[in-house]
Amino acid sequence: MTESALFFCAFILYAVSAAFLFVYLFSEKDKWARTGYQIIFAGFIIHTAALAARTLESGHAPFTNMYESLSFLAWCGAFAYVSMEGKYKIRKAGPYFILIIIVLMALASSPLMPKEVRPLMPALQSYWLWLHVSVTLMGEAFFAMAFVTSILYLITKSKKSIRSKQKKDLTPERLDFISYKCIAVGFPLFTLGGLVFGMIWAYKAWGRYWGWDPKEVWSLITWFVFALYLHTRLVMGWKGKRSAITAIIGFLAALFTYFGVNYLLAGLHSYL
Amino acid sequence: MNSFVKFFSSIKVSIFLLIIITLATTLGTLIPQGRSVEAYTEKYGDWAPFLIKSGITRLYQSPWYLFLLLLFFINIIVCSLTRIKKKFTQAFKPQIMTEERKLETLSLKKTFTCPQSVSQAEKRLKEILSSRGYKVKEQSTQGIFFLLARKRFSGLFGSDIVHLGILIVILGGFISGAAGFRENIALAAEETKSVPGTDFFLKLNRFETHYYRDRSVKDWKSTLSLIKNSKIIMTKTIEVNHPLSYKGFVFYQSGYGWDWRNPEVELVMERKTENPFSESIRTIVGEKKSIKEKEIEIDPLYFVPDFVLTEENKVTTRSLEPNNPALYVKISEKGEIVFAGWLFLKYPEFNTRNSQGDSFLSVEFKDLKAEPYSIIQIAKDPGVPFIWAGCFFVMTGLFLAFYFIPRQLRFLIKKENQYTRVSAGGTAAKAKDSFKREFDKIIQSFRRTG
Repeated sequence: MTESALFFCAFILYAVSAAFLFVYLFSEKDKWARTGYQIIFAGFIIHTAALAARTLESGHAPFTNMYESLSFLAWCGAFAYVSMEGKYKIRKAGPYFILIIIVLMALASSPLMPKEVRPLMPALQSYWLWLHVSVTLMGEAFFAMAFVTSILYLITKSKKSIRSKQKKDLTPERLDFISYKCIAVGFPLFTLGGLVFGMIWAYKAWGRYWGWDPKEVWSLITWFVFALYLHTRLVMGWKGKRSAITAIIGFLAALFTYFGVNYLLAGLHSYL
Repeated sequence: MNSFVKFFSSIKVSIFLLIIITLATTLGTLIPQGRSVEAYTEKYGDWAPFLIKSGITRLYQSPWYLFLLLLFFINIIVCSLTRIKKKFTQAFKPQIMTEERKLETLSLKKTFTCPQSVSQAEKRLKEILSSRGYKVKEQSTQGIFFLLARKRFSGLFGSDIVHLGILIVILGGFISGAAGFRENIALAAEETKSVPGTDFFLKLNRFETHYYRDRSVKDWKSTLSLIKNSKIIMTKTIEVNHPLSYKGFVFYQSGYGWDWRNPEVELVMERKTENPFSESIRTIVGEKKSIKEKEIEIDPLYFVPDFVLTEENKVTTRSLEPNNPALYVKISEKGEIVFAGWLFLKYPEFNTRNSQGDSFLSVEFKDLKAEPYSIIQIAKDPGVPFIWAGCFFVMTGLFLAFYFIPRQLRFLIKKENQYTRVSAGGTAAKAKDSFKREFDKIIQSFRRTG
């Protein structure tokens, strides 16, 4: 099968899995959740094959233009979901998170994203492309997960008085805990991929490790916001609402770093 | 001094500084950095002088931003130092003895009796704990045994190692800013230039541009030699992402260009009627050439690599890329000007209408040759080793802080009637769930063998 067919298959599977999990949300029957999980797992495997096919076809890493990088970010999201669900059983936050994956896949398949394989420009020809982009996007996928659980935290918290019957695995405390766990994975990954690997590569390619390029600056801003999250939480004992809001701001900063900087601010990262 | 320490050791001050620095850093991406005064005046009007004076237009180099970083630097040092002493005591000089009522206040606790003797129970507990990777310290007084079992205690210092790393990175940044040096030099093939601030020279032996099949650039390769006292020290072919390093100097393939001062051009002259002829000539821009026994004189006067007309209808070049090379030529026949105008290499149909007068001469701009040159960035940055060391500490510390969470268990074993009474208690800052599971397992496996 070709790369685009595999990509499409994965897209469909993600959508079906989201449908199953939404049914679970209302029916509360475990089998829907289990099947949904199996389907997204299958989608993840097929998506992996799509990325591998893309790599074989192009001869370079599968994240050198917007289409590829959106698809890769969606793949990281699927990985983040499959691993967090496997470890912490977050089923009821699942469908909302898969919606993000679906949005990414939809954006990637939009006709506005050129899909043809282009040869790599000189600055991108480095193994640091693999290390820098993949680790950073994986970190950002975990931030996205924390974003979803934080929003759900705020919603369930405000609804608590109205709906006394709380679903067992979606208590605010649990959501707060899962947000923290996601950031505990995302933050070291983002630091390593975005900042450390980014600096090493910038030094090799451009002759300086830091140049206050807008993308660099926004990575730093994202890092500061999550540093704030961790310090207010671990040292000042913030939890719950204020933590959730900080995590949401952090994710929005990460989103702007990934997306907004390219379209709104000029800089060296203009190719992606 | 005391109030200074007190102020900077406050976590609230850290949070405040972190927020201020984040906002200031953001401001620098909203206002374009390092542009000309005219550009700011055009964009911001009356605000421009304020923006420039306050350093906002060069925010990350401005004194007040650096001052904020300095405050942050001091804050991290003071915060870490005021907290580290307690951590050292906790890690290296822990109190082993405890009291039962203290154990009861811990989040994990259990008290039970067992039939073994006190020393048997102690021995068995130590076995179980060390098989689970705990390091056990013991002490006894008046027939009461105390055990302190701990593992992953280096995780206690995770955050301190991160902070140490950040300090080293900031230090490295200041060193780079103060002592770093960066300069671009352009070299044509076979050209040698001295490396600024040193006694050695850089020679470009070869410069090649490699293209993909679709004519986009694949890579630039410059073969460089470093020369000292007329001797070649080393030779290496550099390309983007693969610089040459020598004694703290790093040479990067940073750009390329062409020497447009006097490129070589080829022109084809043709006349179809009246003494028809066709002749191609090669010359250098600025050098007249004549053909037909000096009857026809060709004078290529000006050249631009990327022709564009300004609003005032003046010719200029849009870039230094040969996107639209154009040549202004004057041709005279028997002393009379028969043609004067622009010729385009890529768009001959736009040539200024040929043949003034009645000579019916046509001329075309056929080929262009300019000397390519390579732009090499020479950098020396003594801050770089600090940055890498700092990054290493940050990553190690993050790993320890998140995934090497210290666990500590205390046991108090004493004789009570004919039985032995064991009280146990434990604390973990994070990952309480998995620690509880382990705690329960330890107690279980002890009681089972009891």
